[in-house]
Amino acid sequence: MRSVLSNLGRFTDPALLILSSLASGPKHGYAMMEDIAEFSGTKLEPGTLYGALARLEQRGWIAALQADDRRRPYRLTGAGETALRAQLDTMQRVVAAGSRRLALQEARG
Amino acid sequence: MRLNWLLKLYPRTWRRRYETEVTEVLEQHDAGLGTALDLLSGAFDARLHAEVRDPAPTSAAPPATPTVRGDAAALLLAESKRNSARDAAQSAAGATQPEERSLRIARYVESAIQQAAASGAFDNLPGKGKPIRAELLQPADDRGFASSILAGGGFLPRWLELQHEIQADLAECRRIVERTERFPPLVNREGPLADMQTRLAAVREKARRYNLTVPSMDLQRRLPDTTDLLRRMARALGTAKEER
Repeated sequence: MRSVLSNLGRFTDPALLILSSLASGPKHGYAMMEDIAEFSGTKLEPGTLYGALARLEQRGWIAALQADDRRRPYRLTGAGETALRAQLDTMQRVVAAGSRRLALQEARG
Repeated sequence: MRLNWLLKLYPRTWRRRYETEVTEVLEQHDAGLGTALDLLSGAFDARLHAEVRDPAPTSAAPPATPTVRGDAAALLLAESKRNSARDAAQSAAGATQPEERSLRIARYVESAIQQAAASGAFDNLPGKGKPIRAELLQPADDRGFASSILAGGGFLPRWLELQHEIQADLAECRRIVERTERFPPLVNREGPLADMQTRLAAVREKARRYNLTVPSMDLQRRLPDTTDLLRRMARALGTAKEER
């Protein structure tokens, strides 16, 4: 699937999960992992989480906030919100096409 | 499972930026073997990819401390201040870092030289205590200068050695051919021819290796033409086809 996130390679899925998680407000690393596990069922490991975080930060899609003790929260930036919307649009088109075709199959069968 | 030690495998620039918070995450995380492998692959990833290895530094001291739920204007203001501070820090870092690095390297090299001198590595070198020969100071180029210093110290770069070997091998082949022309053997004519073929093939192989290892294309040479020597050898041995 060609999309805004696809040049992130194996970090495409984690990046989407992170952007979605931050869409409800800033969170630090562990809070993101918990949130993501809850809404998607995916348990991200810290190595993967921070591989994706660093890439998202480099692209300016998320930004680090002031660390609170030893935890640093991250927030979605404007550019990040745009990227997330574009990604979800692409996915929605795929979901719609796939569902329509499955329904058609069912009607025929 | 305590896995903090795995963070030592990450590059220093990454650790400066992320080690504290990842340590904190690991303390809360129910870590298993998967976590360890994931961190290991993360360390490789960070070493391979500059975008992970060289994260933007975050400013150390907060100017004002708007909380996460603080009002949007304060948050934006703090963010822009932080960004400009970061940009300034980055451009400053860009100006000094390579310099610092070369200074570090120079210091390292200097101390290595001092240590080597102290342990006597430079005693008994040819030319010690004698004036430097003037021709060494007028090199054709930097590389020539380095080569002549090395040669003066009794070292030749491998490619120069190869070049000398090729010349010597060819001269040896020529000697054998001339001797065979003067004193052709009465029996066993195939043996010397096969031997010459092997020798010449080895010379051409060396010449090929020479061309691959010279430091500049300008130094590459055409492969020596060995067919003439082989033809002369065959004629001298009486095994050449045209003479049958």
